[in-house]
Amino acid sequence: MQIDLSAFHAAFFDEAHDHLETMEASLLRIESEADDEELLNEIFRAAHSIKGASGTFGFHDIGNFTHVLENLLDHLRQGNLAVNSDLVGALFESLDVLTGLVAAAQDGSDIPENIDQVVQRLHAINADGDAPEPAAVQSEAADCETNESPTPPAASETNSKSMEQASESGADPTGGQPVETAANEQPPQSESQDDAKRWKIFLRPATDYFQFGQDALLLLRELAELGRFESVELHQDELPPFDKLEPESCHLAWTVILQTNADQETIQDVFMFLDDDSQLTITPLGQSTLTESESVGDPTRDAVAQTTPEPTTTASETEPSTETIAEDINEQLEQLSADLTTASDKPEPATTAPSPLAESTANAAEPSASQPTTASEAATPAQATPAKPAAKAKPAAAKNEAALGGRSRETIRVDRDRLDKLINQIGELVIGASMVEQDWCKVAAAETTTSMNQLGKIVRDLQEMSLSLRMVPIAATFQKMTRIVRDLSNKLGKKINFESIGEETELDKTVVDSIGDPLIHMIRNSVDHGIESPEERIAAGKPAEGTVTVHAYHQGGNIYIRLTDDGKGLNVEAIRKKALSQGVISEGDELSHQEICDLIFHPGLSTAEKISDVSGRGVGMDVVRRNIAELKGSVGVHSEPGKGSTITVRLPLTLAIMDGLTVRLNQDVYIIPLLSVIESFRPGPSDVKRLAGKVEVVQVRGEVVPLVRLHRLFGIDGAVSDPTDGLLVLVDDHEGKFALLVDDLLGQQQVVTKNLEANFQKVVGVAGATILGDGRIALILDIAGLTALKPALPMPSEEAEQLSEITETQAVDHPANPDESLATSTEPDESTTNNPERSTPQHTWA
Amino acid sequence: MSKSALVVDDSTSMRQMVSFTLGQAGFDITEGSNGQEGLDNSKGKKFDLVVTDLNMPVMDGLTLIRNLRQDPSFKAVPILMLTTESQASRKQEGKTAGATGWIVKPFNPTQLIQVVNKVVR
Repeated sequence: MQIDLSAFHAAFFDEAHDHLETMEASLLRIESEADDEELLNEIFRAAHSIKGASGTFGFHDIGNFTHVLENLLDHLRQGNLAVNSDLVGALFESLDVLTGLVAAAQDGSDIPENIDQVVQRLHAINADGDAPEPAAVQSEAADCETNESPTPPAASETNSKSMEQASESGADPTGGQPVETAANEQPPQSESQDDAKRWKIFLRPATDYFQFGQDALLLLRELAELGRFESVELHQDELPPFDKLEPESCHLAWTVILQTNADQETIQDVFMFLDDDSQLTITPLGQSTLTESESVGDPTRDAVAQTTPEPTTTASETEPSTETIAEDINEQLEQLSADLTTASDKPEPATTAPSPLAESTANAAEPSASQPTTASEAATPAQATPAKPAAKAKPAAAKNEAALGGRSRETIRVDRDRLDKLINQIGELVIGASMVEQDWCKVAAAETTTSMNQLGKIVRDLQEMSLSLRMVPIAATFQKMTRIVRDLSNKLGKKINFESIGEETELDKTVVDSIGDPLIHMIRNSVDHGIESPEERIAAGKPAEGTVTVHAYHQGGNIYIRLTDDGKGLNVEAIRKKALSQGVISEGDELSHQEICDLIFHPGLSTAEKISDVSGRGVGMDVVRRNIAELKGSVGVHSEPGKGSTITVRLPLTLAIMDGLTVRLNQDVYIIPLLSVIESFRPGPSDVKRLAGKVEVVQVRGEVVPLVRLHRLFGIDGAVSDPTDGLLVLVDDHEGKFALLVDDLLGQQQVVTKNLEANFQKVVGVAGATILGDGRIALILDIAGLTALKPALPMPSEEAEQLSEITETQAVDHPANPDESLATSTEPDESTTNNPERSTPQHTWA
Repeated sequence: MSKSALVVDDSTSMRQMVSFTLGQAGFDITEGSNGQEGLDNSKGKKFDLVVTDLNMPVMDGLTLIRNLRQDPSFKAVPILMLTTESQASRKQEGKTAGATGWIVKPFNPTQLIQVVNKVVR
C-alpha cells in the first residue's frame, strides 16, 4: 500500500508544537512544584508522543533525540534522579534543541548546533540514573539499565530491539515446561537449524484464546504464506462431549509440517501475539533426524496419535498448492463449526452460532449467505444476558450512533485561510445586511421594522461569533515570557519572581502572533535594566527578589497588557542626555518627567549603559512601538524612579474591524483610523502659514503642525481647498502630528477592513478599504503611510522656533478658552470626534 | 459489508495516519482522541478491529482495553495496541488487559496492514 506520509506532517508539526509548549509550561513549574508527579508525567507524555510520531513520519533526528530525553525523564519518574536546577537547566536546553529540530524538519532550517553537546549532557545525567540502586529497588534499576542504557542515538534503534527481547524474555515465565510456551520465545537453537527447509509446528491455543480476538485460522493462513504445508493435522482430542462444550473456548490443536525458506524467527513472528497459555513448538525437521526438543516428551506425539483420520499428504507425493491446503483447513473448520452450531443450538433457537469460531469459519468459507451477520450479532454471549433478543439491540444501537454524532468533544484545526475567508464573508454579510436595512427604511412599512431589526441582530451576533473563532488565549505568549525571565535572571544573577495574570485573556490569533516579540523585548528590558541586582535592591531597602508582573485584561473593546516591574525605574537623566546628544531635544526644552519617559519610544534612543547581549541597543522601544502600531495598538510607559516602571500596551480585539472616522472629500468618503485622530477643528485664516514659501503648516494651540491637503494628495477635484472653509483633522502617527484637510466629517463608525493589497495592489497612504452601509466603497487612510506622501517637512527646530515666536501671543498652554468652545458648539455633531484615549480636550478653532 | 475499526490515539497525526491507512484498507473508521472518547464513541457500534495507543490523557489505552473487554460485543474483537520499544514490559500488561496484539512504533502503513492482517481477515 502506497501512502504518502507527508500528508500527515502538518498535523505532526502542529501537535509537536503543542507538546513542546506543554513541556515548557510544565518545566517552568517543576522546580517550584517538584512534588507534583503529574507535571513529570505530562512532560514525559509529551516527549513520548513526539518520539512515537516522529519515527513514524521519518523524522529520525527528532526521534533519536527524544529517545535520549525520554530516558532521562523516565529516570526522573522512577525516582532514580532528583529534580534540581542543573537538571532542569539540561531539560530546558533539550527543549530548545528539540524545538530547533522540529523547526529544522518543518522548514529545513539548520539543526541546532549544540545538539551533540546536549546529548552528551543527557547521557551523563542518564548514567547517574543508571547507577544501581541498593537492595529494594535493585530489580527495577536493573530493568532500567537494560532498557535505558545510554546508547548513542544513531545506534538506538538496533539496540532497543535487542533490549526489547532481553526484557521480554526476562518477563516471560519460561519455567521447566516441556514445551515452549511464550509466543516470542527464541528457542536456544543453533543458527544452522534455520537452514532446515521443513518445520514441524504444533499449536494448541489456550482455552480462552478466542476471547482476546485471536483467530487460529489466520495464523495457519499466515503460516501457509511462508511456504507449503506438507500436512495439517487437527487434534480434537480435548474437545469435550457436546453437552459440556463451551462454544467460546478453544479446544483444538494443530500440527503442521511446513516447507519454507523462512528462518525460525520469521515463523516465530507469525505467532507473535500468541499468549503464554497457548502451546507452541516449532521444530526444525532436518533431512534426517528429529531434533532434541521434539524427542523430549513431545505432547504432539500423543496428539498425533489421536488425530482425525485426515490423511497426511506429503510433499513428495502430491505437492498440493498451499491454497488447496488452506481450503482444506477451511472446510475442516467449517464442518467442525457446523457441528458445534447444531450442538449448541438448544439454548437460543433464534441465534445460530454464538461462537466466534463459527463466525470466523463462516466468513472464511464460501459465502454462506446470511450467516456472517447473524453469527456476529449473536456472538454476544446470550448466556450472559439471556433475555435480550438481538432484534431489539439493533435499533438501540442505531439510536446510540445518532446520539454520538452530536457529541464530539474534539477540537478541530481549521486552515487559517478558510477561517479568514469565512470571517471575511460574514463581514460582507454585515455590510449587505446594513445596505438592505438602509434601503428598507426608505420604502418599508413600519410593521416590517421588527423583523428587520431581528435580522440585523442575528447578523451582528453572527459576526461577533465569527470573530471569536480567531480568538486564542494569550497564555502561550506569557509562557514564553516566563521562560525568558527564568533564563535571564539565572544568567544575570538576579532573583526575580514572575507573575502572570489573565493568561486566559483572548485576542485575535494574528495579534497574538505579532505581539510576542515586542512583549519579549519589553520583558528583557525589565529584567535586564529594570530589576536591580539583589545587592543593589537590599541597599535600596527593597526585597532581594524583584517582581515582574504581566497582566492582560479586556477593557472596552480593547485588550490591555500591562508589564510592571519593581525595579529602579527609567533613568530619566540618561534618557535626557541621550536625547540631547542625538538632537532629539534641545538644551532649553522644559520636559516633564512623563515627556522624558516617552522619549524611550523615539527612534535610536537606547539608554543601556553597556550593550548587553540581552536587550541589545539601537533597535529598541521605537521598534516595539512601531510593531504595536502596526497592530493598530498603542503603548505607553509610566515610571517612578526607584520604584519601578509600568508599560501598558493597548491592542484592538481584532484587526478585522476597526473604529474609523468617516470624512468626505467632494463625493468621496475616506476613513481615518480613530486611533490616530486627536481632534478636528476649523482653522482661522491666520493659523495657516507657509514655511519657506513651500510647506504649509497650521497652528493648533501653540503647536505648529504640517498641513496635508488630502484632495491634493489623492487628486480629488472639487473638494474644499481653503482650510478655513473645510475642517482639519489632527492626527498622530507616533512620529509626529499633522493635520489633514477634509471637506466635512460624516461620523464615526465601525468598519470591516478589506485588504487592498490582496485584491488590487499596495497603495501608499491607504491601509485598506471598506464597504459603507450604502454600498459605497471607502478607502481607509494609512496615517503612517501618509507621512511618506506628504511634502517633505524636516521641521528644523530653528524655523519652528521662529514660527513660535511669531505666534507666541496666540499660544495657549492651558486648555481651551470656554468662550471659544462655546462659539464652536454650533458645529455638527459628527465633528466632535475625539479619541477617548487621549486627554486632550475637544477643541475647535473658530 | 465493510469492516469497521475504532482508532484511538491522542496524537492527531498518528490517528490520522492509522485511520487513513485502515480506511484505504476498506475499514470504516471511528476515532477517539483518548480512551474515554474512544469508549464513548464506540458505544452502540460494532467493530472488527480496535487500534489504540497506550499513553493517553484522561483514559489510557490499557484501561480502554479492559473496559472494551467488559462489553460483550467486544469480547472477540481483535484489539491492537500501539506501543514503543521502551514499553516492552507493557506488552504483557496489554495482553493481560485483553489486547490481541501490538504494533511497535515507529511503523509505516505497510507494517500496520501486515499486523492488522494477522488478526483480521
